Amino acid sequence: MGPATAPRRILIIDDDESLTGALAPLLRAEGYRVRCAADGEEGMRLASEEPPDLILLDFMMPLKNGFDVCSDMQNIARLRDVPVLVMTAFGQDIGEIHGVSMQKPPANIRGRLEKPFEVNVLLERVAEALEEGSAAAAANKSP
Amino acid sequence: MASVSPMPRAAYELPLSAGEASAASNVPHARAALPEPLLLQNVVWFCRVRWIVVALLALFGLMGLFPQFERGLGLRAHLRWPIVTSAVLALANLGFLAHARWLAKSGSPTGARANLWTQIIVDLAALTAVVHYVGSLETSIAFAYLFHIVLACIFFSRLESFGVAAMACGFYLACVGLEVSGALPRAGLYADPSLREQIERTPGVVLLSAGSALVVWLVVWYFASHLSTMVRERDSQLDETNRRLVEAQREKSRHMLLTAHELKAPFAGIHANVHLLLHGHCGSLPAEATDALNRIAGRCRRLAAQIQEMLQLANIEPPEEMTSRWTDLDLTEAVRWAMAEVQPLAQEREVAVEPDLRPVRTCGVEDHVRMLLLNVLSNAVIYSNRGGRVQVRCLPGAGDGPIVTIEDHGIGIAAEKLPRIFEEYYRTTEAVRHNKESTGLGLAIVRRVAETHGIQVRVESEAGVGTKFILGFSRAEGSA
Repeated sequence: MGPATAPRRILIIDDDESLTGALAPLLRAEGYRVRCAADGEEGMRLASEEPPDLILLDFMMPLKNGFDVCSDMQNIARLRDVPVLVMTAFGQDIGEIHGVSMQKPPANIRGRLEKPFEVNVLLERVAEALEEGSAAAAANKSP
Repeated sequence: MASVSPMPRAAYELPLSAGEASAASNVPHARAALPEPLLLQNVVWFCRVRWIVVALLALFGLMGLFPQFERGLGLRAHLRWPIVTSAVLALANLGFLAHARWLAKSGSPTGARANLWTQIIVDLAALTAVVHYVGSLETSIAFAYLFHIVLACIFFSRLESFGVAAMACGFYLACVGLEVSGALPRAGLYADPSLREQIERTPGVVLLSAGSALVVWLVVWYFASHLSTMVRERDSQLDETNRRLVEAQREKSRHMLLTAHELKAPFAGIHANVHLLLHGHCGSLPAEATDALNRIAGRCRRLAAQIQEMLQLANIEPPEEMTSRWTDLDLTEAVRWAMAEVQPLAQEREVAVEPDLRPVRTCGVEDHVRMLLLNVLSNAVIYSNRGGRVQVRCLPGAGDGPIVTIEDHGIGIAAEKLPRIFEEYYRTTEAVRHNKESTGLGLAIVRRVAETHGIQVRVESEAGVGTKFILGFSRAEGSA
């Protein structure tokens, strides 16, 4: 179920337009505000313009891959705590292909959805990640 | 108008791949000599062998305490030279060993070669003294130089070993020359000097005696150095082949990962678009269109699962290729993960999964162990009857390691078909009737993971009653 009042903002960063083209209307139908970027550079630009509440991030992309996006986000204060759900066709060995260790994944990654995934599973994970993000933000604000 | 300098013309030449480049250069470059770490090992070994020589010389010297015994053997009384040579060699050996220890600690990249060269020079000098005192022409002692010539062929390059052979020849010729010219006092082990005197009186015999020794040494040097070079060349080829195999294996793994990505990723888009259409986001569809979309979605799901399993199967490598991913892991947690993964399927088929899990650990590649558990568990759920139950137990084994048992009360497997269930694409007719969507690769993956991890797999089954998989894992390293 999407939110009743303030629509939560979701940024999808994936170079597969067949996926973003379908996910965007599905998420909008759930009441989210959705924007799409076709590569990491465009994704960082859109995220910097208007920080989203959640990023759905592909890892294997041209120009700037998902790992680079995550590390760039760590260097921007208002994007540092934005939760990221990784959507990738790589399994546990995702780190090997990018030559990085996944023993300590980037801090803002909240979970991984292995492609292909069921849309219902994605919607559940999105709702959970947004809820966790809200709870974490509330905890950070409380004295 | 300002002249515009033309852009430099860019050029690119497609580089040959590593394999082709090596093939073009034919044989990999052979090592000229032993690598430095191996030389250092030989420095120590050479010193150990020298202690035997030191002991033999000392014993021989001590025979001088019994002159009657020596005279009985027809030998001249001797005491001093073997003891002095033994002492000199012992002192030198201590120095060589101290230097070797320092080299091992400091990690000097070139010291071992210098140490070995010094050992050989000192040995040749000491051996020349022994040759002089034992009898350079009338005995066969001069052939002891061959030890150093052959060892130099093993340790060093052909040119260096020739240097050692030449040095041995030089030492020996100098010894004989000084003896014959009278510059060195007459020595020799034989009590009767007549043989020596006879040789020295006949220049032809001196020349033949010394010359034949030199020819034999040079011939031995030629064969030994040639064989040694061939062995080193072969060794280099094996090293190169091994390096290429490791590289190819790494490249294959990377290629498999990328292939998996390229084959799996598009299905996410297909699923999402089918979902979009089926759920009316693009307007209502006629019933026939909905049916067709459902068929597309189902086929896509099966194809994605098949691709996933084929790639998983191809990507399971032997443990020696996966050392970096081999870890101590929480087996109970892996079983819980597999249960959570299979839960939607179990709910859909109204199958209850009943766990009895104790904390146990094992070692292996985590995602491969999870893959094995998920395959066995999902089979148990799939081949259960609607409303059935699957019991999952995870217990510390009595002796060897943890045991996981997964038992269903479903369609079971006939005894004669049990040995074939781990074959790729093998499916029993009962299994096909019960579930048309299986790829027939699940248990082949189980077999492959079990083989690479040394997991004992036992299957007990009865057609129409159910199947029990007993998985015997290895104990985690360091666990009691």
